[in-house]
Amino acid sequence: MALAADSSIYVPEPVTLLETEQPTELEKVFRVKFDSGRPLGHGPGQFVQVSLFGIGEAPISICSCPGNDEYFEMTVRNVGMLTNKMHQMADGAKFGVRGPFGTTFPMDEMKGKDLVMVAGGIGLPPLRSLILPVMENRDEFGKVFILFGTRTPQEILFADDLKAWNEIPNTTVLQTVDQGDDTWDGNVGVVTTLFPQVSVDPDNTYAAIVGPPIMYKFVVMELAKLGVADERIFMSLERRMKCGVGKCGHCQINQVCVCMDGPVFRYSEARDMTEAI
Amino acid sequence: MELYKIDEKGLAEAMARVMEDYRVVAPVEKGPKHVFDDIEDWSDARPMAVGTVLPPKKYAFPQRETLLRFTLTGETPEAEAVMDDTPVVMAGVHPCDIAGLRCIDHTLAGRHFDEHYGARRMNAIVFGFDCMPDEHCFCTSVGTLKAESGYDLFFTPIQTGGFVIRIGTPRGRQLFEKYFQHAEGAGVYEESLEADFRQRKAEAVTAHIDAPVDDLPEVYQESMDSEVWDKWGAVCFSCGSCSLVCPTCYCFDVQDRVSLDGSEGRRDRIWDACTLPDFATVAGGHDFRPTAPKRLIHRHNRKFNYQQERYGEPHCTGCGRCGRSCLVHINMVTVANELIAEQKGEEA
Repeated sequence: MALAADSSIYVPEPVTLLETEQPTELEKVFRVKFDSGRPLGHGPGQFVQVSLFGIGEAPISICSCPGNDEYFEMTVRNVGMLTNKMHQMADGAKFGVRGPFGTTFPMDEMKGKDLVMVAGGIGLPPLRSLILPVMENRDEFGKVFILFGTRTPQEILFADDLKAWNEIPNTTVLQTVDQGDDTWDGNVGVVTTLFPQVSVDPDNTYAAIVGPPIMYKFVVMELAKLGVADERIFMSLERRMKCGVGKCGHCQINQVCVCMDGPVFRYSEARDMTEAI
Repeated sequence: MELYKIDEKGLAEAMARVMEDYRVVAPVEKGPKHVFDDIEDWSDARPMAVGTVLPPKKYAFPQRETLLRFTLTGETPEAEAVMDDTPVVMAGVHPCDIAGLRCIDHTLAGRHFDEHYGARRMNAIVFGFDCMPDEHCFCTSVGTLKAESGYDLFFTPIQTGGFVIRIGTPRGRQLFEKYFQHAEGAGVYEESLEADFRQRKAEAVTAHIDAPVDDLPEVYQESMDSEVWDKWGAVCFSCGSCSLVCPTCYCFDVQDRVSLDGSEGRRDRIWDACTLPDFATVAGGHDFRPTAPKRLIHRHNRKFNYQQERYGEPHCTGCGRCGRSCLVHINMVTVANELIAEQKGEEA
């Protein structure tokens, strides 16, 4: 049997780093395009495998708006070998990308509904790939609440976006930090402390959650208090991944692969998986 | 189905001719154990030997396999996929290991077809052999006493000497006609004595799971909080041996290796195991499965619940290897029966 050498699902495509921005001490936003010129064609909530030869690969969420044919963006926290190397890259650097992979937040299903979008820390970038298209088509949705919590004011990502979204009619951005300082005069406490300020029509509301593992069950409890049904709560789950295509086994939760059957899950499904949240 | 027969001498003669044209691997003796290895003389083969240390899956899915080669010298990193499609005849593959290959196919050759696995797998020719179970085998509990498919040729010993040959694929037929049909002592076997062998084989199995295999997903699903996991988790070394010897385990890690001068390198995959610590640890340090009991629950459920529900067959084939290799005698049958007994007790 003959196979073309380029037919492997593991061969990444070359991309070029157009520019970076560093909003926090640990995070950088990478704007990237495929050398082939092809658009990424991702949906909200999807991710790619970033590939640096000699180092390895890591799953990274897309934080830019779907439908952009020019470039895509990723927000990367400097926490490991690969991300550390990424943070050292200069504009114009070449590396590899495979994807996009995974399930998406169901934009069409959410249309005409009130939205509660909850992000913790580095959960905001993946959620931004949903928030941006919602804001671009703002008339098609009801009330929108964006809840964002970080540990400190210094860890706030996309501050300009948050300010701009809050200016949009019928859109409320609520922020909190676990620990305040002299620069902070806003809410102090975990993200669930923002929920008393949320008022939506629960029977007509969808929720989307992305954050650290500990956050999910507490946010789900608040949404349940509001009266949002489990079927209308979506969450993106993080897991160790090596392949992105359902082979390596690392991201398996019960019978699903987070890379292929997720990362975006309906809570009514995730609820019954023993290790999900 | 047409059945054929061949005697021992004819088989040796045929295999010698196969070896002229193909790489042939089979169980051979290694110290007190058996391992699958390359053979050049059929008299070295022990095709009915039970419990080779590793299953023959290593020829379709090697312990370490290069996926890509890359260069680091140019401005743009370039990579080339590496495939190995050299045909290999695996002789002495038992029904449990034939089932094991099929289980791995579900994942690696399913959605997002893995071409590296596909190239090896499609060129791995399966000469199945029947076997006589030892005390660790429990094929009768998981439906792998007999292979219905998944082989090119299948050999069952007959009491009068020699083997019955079944043909499983068009490729098997071609190989049979080329190498076996005209060997000495070969002929059509009209009345099967396979049933007699299979009867004796079934009677040799002494380890049994105390519930029908179709009931196991529910048993395991209802046992997530069972103390059985705490008991065995307390003694588990998290050494990963059970996964590394398993015919259905396919989890892998990916590692890059770079040449000393930094000009080129390769991306390899190597076997990984969900029972090893850190298997589920993400960047930043959070471990989604931080204790041995949690990892055991996951592994055993992958065999009798998660994959079984997803793909319709148990992903434990009753080969007994994990039981043979476990340093603290954690055994699929013992664990299953403890869970089953616990549930029966709760019901009573």
